[in-house]
Amino acid sequence: MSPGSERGRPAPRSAIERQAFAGFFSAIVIVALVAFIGYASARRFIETSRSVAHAHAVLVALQGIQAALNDAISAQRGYLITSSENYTNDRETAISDLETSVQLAKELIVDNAQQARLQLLEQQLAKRRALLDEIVVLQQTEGFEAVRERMLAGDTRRADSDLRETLAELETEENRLLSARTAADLRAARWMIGALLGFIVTVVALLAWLFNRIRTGTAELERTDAAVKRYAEEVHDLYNRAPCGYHSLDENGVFVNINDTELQWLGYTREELIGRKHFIDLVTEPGRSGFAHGFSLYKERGQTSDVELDVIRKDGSQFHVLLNSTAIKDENGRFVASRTTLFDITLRQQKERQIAVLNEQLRQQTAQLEAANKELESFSYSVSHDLRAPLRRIDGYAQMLEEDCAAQVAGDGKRYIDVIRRSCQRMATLIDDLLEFSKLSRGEIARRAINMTVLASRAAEEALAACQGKRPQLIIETLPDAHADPALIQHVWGNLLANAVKYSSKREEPLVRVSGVRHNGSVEYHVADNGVGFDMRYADKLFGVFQRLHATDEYEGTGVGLAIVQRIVTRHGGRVWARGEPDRGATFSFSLPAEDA
Amino acid sequence: MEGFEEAEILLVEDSPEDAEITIRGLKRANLGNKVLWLKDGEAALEYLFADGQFAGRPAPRPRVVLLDLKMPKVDGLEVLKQIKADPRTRTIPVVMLTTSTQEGDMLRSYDLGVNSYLVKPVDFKQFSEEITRIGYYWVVMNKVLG
Repeated sequence: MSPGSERGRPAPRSAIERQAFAGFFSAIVIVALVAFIGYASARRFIETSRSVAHAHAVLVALQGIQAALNDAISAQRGYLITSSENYTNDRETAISDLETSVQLAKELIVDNAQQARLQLLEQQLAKRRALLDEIVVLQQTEGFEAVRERMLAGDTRRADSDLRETLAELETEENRLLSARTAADLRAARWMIGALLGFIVTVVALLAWLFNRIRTGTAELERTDAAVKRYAEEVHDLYNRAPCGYHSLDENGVFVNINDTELQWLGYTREELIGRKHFIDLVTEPGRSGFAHGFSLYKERGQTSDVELDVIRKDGSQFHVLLNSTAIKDENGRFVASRTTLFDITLRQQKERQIAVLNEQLRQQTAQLEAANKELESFSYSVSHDLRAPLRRIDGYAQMLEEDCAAQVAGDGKRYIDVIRRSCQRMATLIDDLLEFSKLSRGEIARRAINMTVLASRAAEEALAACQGKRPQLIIETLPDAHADPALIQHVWGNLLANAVKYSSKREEPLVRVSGVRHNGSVEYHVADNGVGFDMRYADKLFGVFQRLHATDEYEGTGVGLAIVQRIVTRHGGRVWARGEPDRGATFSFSLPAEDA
Repeated sequence: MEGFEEAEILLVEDSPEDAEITIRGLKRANLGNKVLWLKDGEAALEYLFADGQFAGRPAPRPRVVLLDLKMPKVDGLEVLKQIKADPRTRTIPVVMLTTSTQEGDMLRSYDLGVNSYLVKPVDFKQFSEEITRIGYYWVVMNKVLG
């Protein structure tokens, strides 16, 4: 599995490509320009060489004209002096050369001004040649003296000097043209070198930038590649080491992929399964037809979930799995492969069975408990009925004895009868209290929000009404509400207040104060009296059944009241405790858990 | 025991001692000679419906039936049920006189239509006074038909 292949090229790559393309293109353009400039320079250089050569050729031609003219004039002079035919030939040759040179000059010179001058030169040459011819004729006709006079006249000298002037002008102009040309060439060359340098610098800079971009781009690519590789590895790892089994089947139900976890469960190697085994072969016999049917349905629908199967390991043992699967389809909607998750729920199955067993046990135990409770109830009923009846008779007959046999039982007899009767009463009270204690220990607690101030006040009224001694001043502060069984808590208040009233009734100024405070998670209530108090050393005896710290003749009571209080409060999840000092009063307190605790 | 026909109080009680105590209390209210004591529920029903051992006698109409709950053979609740089910006897006041403080018994008794439910105290004096008052109330004060 490799991620990201469907997503397209990552961004940096195309940016780099664009930049590289732009850079290289620019570089190529510049190089082309440079090449072009180089080519242009070369051509210019060739042109210039040609111009120079041309100019030289012109100058040579002009010099040739001058030389040929001089030769002709010299040859003329020679002939004039010697009248030798040799000099005539030389003159002919020179004039021939002169014509050649002029012709050459005419071919070479292109500049209009120069051409004008050349025409002038030709005229002057023609004139000079005419003069030459004239002088030769003169020599031949009139002799040397006439020639000498003619030459002294000066027009040959003027013609020569005109010619020299014109030639000089031509030469000068030609040279001027050449130097102008070379100056222009020099300027152009400087521009080109400058441009060349500029372009080269630009290209170098461009290439440097390009190199940098490519380098950073490559680095980024490498990072991305590394990250991609990391993710791929991570996914591969997650796939293989998942706490559940993953596998994929092709359309024929053959394994195409499977993770390590499932391989471990099955006990096969990857090679044994991929492309070789059908998954259905690993399903137990009873499940196969269901699986086959389910598989074709699943390929249509594209998903299935919560399929439970028994699967056979390589070693033949079985385990129970829960299977969920999503189908991968191609763009045409055809089934490609399944992507399946497998959970080994053998443990869960076992646990479920255990729970069922435990539930059954619980049911049985609850039934037993209920039976026991019922037994206890009927037992209490029997006690209440059967124990009281004899007591009543003892008391009744004792009284009848007293009434009917007054004479015989006078004096001590009467006292004995009183004891008998009192004992009966006491036993009856004990039975009643015991029954009450047992009843309160068993009943259901029906919790609700209760107004403790009201409950306490009610109990206080009853306690005051039943008070045997001096009625105490009874202060009940505003008490926080509690969340408890109102009937049971009423008992608690009844007992505590009856005690407080009872034990302070012998005081001069008996005082009972009831207070309460809400804490974090619990509510506390206190009943404080200024009565006879108790020794803290015996504090733990206070709440025992039938435990008392005072004799019955001092203070009435069976010692069950506080035990009942403790039972009720403990069953609510609260606590009871007491503090006291002999002859300095006592405070009895209890706490109840807060509603949301 | 007194004559059947004149019995204004039918006491159904299985314990002779408890019966003696109760009758003693009724004697205090000068009702001692108006009491018929029967020892079990079966006898009580036979008496009220002039059946069994009492067959052939005219049907009695006591002013009150003092009924104990726990009795052998036919117990108090069954007697109460039959008394209140039969139109001939339905209007006879029945007072449960029992040691049981069980709410269940009380509930069932009231369900069956008992007129009063009293719990016997252990204290003889108290019991005596209560019986006296009960007797006086139901026999002397309470108005009945017929």
